[in-house]
Amino acid sequence: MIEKKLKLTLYLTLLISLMSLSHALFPFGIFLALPVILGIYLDIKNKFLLNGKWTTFLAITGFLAFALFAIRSPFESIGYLLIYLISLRVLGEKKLREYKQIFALSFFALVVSSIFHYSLIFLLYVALYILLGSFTLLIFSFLGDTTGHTLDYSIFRKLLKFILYFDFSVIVLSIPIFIILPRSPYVLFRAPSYIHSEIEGFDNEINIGEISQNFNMDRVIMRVKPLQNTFPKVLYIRGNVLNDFDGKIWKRTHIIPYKWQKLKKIQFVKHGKTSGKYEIQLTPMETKVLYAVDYPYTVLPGKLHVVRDWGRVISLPHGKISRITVYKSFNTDLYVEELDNKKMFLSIPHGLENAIDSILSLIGIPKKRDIKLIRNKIKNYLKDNFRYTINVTSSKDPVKDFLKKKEGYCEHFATLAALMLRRLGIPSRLVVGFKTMEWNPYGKYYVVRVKHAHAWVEYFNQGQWLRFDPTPSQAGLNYITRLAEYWDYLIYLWNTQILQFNYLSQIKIFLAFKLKLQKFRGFKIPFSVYPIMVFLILLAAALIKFLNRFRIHPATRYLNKFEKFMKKRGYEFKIGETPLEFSQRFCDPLIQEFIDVYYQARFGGANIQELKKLYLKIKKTF
Amino acid sequence: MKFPVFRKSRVKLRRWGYVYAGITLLTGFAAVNSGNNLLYIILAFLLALMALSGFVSFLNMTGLSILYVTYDEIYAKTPGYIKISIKNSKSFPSFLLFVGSKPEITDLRSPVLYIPPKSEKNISVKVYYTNRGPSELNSIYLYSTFPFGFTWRFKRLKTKTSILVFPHIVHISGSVEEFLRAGNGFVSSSSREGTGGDFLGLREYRRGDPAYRIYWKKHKKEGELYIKQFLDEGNKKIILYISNNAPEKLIERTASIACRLLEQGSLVGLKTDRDFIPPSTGRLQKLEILKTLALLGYD
Repeated sequence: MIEKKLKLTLYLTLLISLMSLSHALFPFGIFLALPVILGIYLDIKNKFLLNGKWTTFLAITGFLAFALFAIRSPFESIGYLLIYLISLRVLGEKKLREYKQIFALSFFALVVSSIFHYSLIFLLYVALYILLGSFTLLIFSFLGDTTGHTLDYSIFRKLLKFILYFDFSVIVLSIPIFIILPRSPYVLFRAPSYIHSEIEGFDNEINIGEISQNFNMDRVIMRVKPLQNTFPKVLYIRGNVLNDFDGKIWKRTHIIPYKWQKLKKIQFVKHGKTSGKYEIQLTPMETKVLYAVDYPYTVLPGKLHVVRDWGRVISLPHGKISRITVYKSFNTDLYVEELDNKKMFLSIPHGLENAIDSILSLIGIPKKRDIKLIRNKIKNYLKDNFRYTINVTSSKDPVKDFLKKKEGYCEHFATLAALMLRRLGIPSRLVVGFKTMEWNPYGKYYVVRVKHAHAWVEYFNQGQWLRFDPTPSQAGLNYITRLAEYWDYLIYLWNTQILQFNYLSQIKIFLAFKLKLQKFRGFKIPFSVYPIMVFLILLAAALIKFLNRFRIHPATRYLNKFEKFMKKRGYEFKIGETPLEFSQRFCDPLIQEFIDVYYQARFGGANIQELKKLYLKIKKTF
Repeated sequence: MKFPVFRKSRVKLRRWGYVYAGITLLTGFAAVNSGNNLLYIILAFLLALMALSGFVSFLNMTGLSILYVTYDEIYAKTPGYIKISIKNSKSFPSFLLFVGSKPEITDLRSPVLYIPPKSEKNISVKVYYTNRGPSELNSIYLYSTFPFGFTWRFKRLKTKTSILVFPHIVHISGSVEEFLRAGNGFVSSSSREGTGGDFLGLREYRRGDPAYRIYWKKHKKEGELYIKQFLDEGNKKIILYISNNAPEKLIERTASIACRLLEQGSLVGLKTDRDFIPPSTGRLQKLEILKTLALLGYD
């Protein structure tokens, strides 16, 4: 008969690891884990659903089924198989051995879940698992080694108290172990494509007026940390650049064949052309470009094998990023380019020329083509005559609809502005990316969320592509609580300090430690301080000795309390009377017992709790 | 079930320990070869737990000492129990301790589950002696699998106790006479029937004797306390004789007969080449006879 206490702790441990795995393999994982709940319920009622033969048969069948599935996605299939095996074990007949197997399977479930996780919540799962798992191990050990013994409640409570202290120490000790564990830049296998991501990066085509409402708009896409002292209030992050517009879809037609190059850090430090350095921490997403702060010069580390593509877009060879990606982006405004194909940036879809011309005549473009004046005129016109909204219905002709309804969002504003510039003979293009003002004061970084997705215009002037954001700024402020900011900062730390921790970080820590050690070695205590130190040590020793006088044995403390209490009741100790003499004089069995226990506790090493109980009893009785 | 035997090592890895070490190694292999820091976190926890469990196992055994060892009647070739008082002088408790008299674990049924800090606990330890006579108990061995059962850890506690092992008691199924005849034994007994008040003799007062049987007149004269012995009705006065060079089997038979007769309420005495125990009854007489027989042949 297995004790209920063991079942309780074991099933709690199991549920934690199953939560971790099925959370990662949502939703099918949850579906597979449901029978476990039934199995636990039946086990509490001391019933089971499957006998040994059925369990073996179903396990073999399941194994074969998941083996087939493993050809397509091996890691996911291992996860599903584990959940399935746990379900079978919990539904089957169990003895102590089977319970041990369930415990082992729960641990493997936690290990496999680490392949799919990247969020901070995993740490919570692991901490809870360690707490409950170590307690389950302890009870297994107690019940396994004490043949025929049951675990009574008082011992259970003491073990629980012990394990709390123990686990706290485990957590503290695991921090330095995590730091010093050997790491290598060369790994045999990675599981890159097992991160589930709802987010897709900007494609090479954008359909104006079709915005996906399925995303969680507050979901964080990236965190951008400025590495220099000066940084803008509003941050524009470049995604993709599109040049061709057919009246409905913006396309990127100018695709330069990828020439992968391995960029080295030294290459950029020497140039010194950068005007801004940022560290970008990208959450998992499927994307073909790496985001960089406008205007990107390059990114680090070079191992990403990236290339500055046309329009200063940093492309990725495989179009996918897994886990958290952290890199440095360098941007610059000190560049001069030549425009190869000017026509490409001046084309306007048929049927829109007249509409654009009428607006331009309405605005009144000056004869002297001052670009700044033109920009202001366009911006003011859009601001005064159009309303910003994301509730726009899809249409075949989004520009005409925008002009008619006078409402739209950034893509409409940017498209109209680009077309107006093109009509005026100024080469222009559409840039899609993010615009953020959300600043985290704890981590000193910008937060970029799904809702920060934005589109703006770039026009070519005097050898440079310059940004022009015609969308009127939005009224209203998104209030973020301090707690939310701090939580986001914790996630940032988790991503940068834990998930990205590698052999380079280890080297950094060791070097910093070595430096501190050298400084410490170089530090010499002046001779004049020695006498003061000796004096202070002697003073501390004397103080300790003096304080030790006041340290009394706990048994004596209770005797003193007893003496005071009896005095209040009118029974005083005589001068020179020993406790034994007092008890003999008193002739009360309770007091005699108290004094007996006092002597045993004071000189025999007996438990002080008994003395305490007796003292409380005396207090109640008298 | 195989029980571990400790010879040199103080720690012995158990099956659970091997399994745990294997799982840790596997996790380590996976972590190093995948560069997955979440696996490194699990690995760090596993290693921390392993290191701390070793440390806790060590602490669990420290600060323990033996206050005293007592025993009641221990017979050769028969499992017996000695009582040990273990003191825990450290500031934290000790859990799950097994106690034995040899450096090997023989019994898992009587563990000490908990010794509170700064306190003591009395426990019984099973012992087994093949030979009668005095036996020195120099060490008591503590074993523990605490906290997680990965290892057996053992500790030797020093003690200086001499245990007197009584001769082995053979079970007598029929009467004593039949038993003697079956074993070709010889008994010379002197029996006298009388009423319950018949005076038998005097002997020295022993603790536990009833006060009304004290012979006060003699006490007045000599100052020592004496007890008047009377022969109960139906009881026999038997004196068992055994030579100092008697073989072991005969000593066992003598001890068995003495115990059986004393159980029946007879007055039993013992005569050896050196000592004479006058016939008497009771538990103290039994212990005296057994003690004499246990030391027979020892100088």
